[in-house]
Amino acid sequence: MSPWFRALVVTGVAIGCGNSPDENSDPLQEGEDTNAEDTSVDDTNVGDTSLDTEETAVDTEDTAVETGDTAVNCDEAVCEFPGDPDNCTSNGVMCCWAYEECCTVCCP
Amino acid sequence: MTQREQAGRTWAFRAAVEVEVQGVFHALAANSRGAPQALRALTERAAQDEGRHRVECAELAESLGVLVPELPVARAGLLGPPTLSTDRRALFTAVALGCITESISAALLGEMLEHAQGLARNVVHGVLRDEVDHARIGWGWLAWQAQNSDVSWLGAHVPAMIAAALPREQVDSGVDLREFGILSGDRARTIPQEVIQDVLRPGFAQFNILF
Repeated sequence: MSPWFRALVVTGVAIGCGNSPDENSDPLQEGEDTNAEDTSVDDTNVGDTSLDTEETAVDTEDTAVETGDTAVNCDEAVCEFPGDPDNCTSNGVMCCWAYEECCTVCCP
Repeated sequence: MTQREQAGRTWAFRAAVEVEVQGVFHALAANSRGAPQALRALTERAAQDEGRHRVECAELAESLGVLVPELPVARAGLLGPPTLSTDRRALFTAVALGCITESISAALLGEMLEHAQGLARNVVHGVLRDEVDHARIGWGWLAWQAQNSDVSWLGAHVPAMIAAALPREQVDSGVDLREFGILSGDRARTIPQEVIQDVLRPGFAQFNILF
């Protein structure tokens, strides 16, 4: 079983606890706007799934996620293929599943 | 029956299932007062997502030569024993549908995505993207409720929830329909078991829900 499932549970729990990255936003819409440099993600041949990533729109304050005793700043994470834990790019941060969504939770 | 027809029938079945799920998410959204805003927003959008999935599944079925009748939006209520309070039935519904059904569904779709081609791949991709959030609704609802109440009572219901969530599709053995977004019967059986062991048990254990 892919490790992204663990993130599925943890990110869901974060939403329920009011700890989602930006509780007042549409998570998916926000994800579509999430940018990171040079991370065109489109190995799916699906037209609307590439990430146009000219600038880093991830706001550190909005995306800091606290799990247990650990808090991380998600602006360090760049997911070339969200869902693939091997693409984690900074300590304590993993790329969460959901294609356009990047970094919402600490690694377990 | 040709492989395309078999695949089309499966997608027509999936379209009907999406209608059922849409109705349940409608009911859940109607009972989301007091939930964190992000959770309410996800739940409200989920019903719309399922309506869109129904259309996409039907279009795919029809592209494979199987006509899908127009299906009315199901007006399902909350799941769970009627003896439970409304709040508990809402939690029951979120767990059964989100934590269990949608988590399993996401895992199945993830495997489908690796093999599907053409329009089937597009549909699988779109549905999977939403199902991830729908699964999160369940875990989020559970976490929200667990902040103020004991949720361990759900453990007695989880086996039945799982049984209800297991794939009901019938695929002939020896027929490879993966390019159409349909897994072999063997994988359709083993993936949910992996989800149960690797996701559901540890996930529920965090909330003292044992089964």
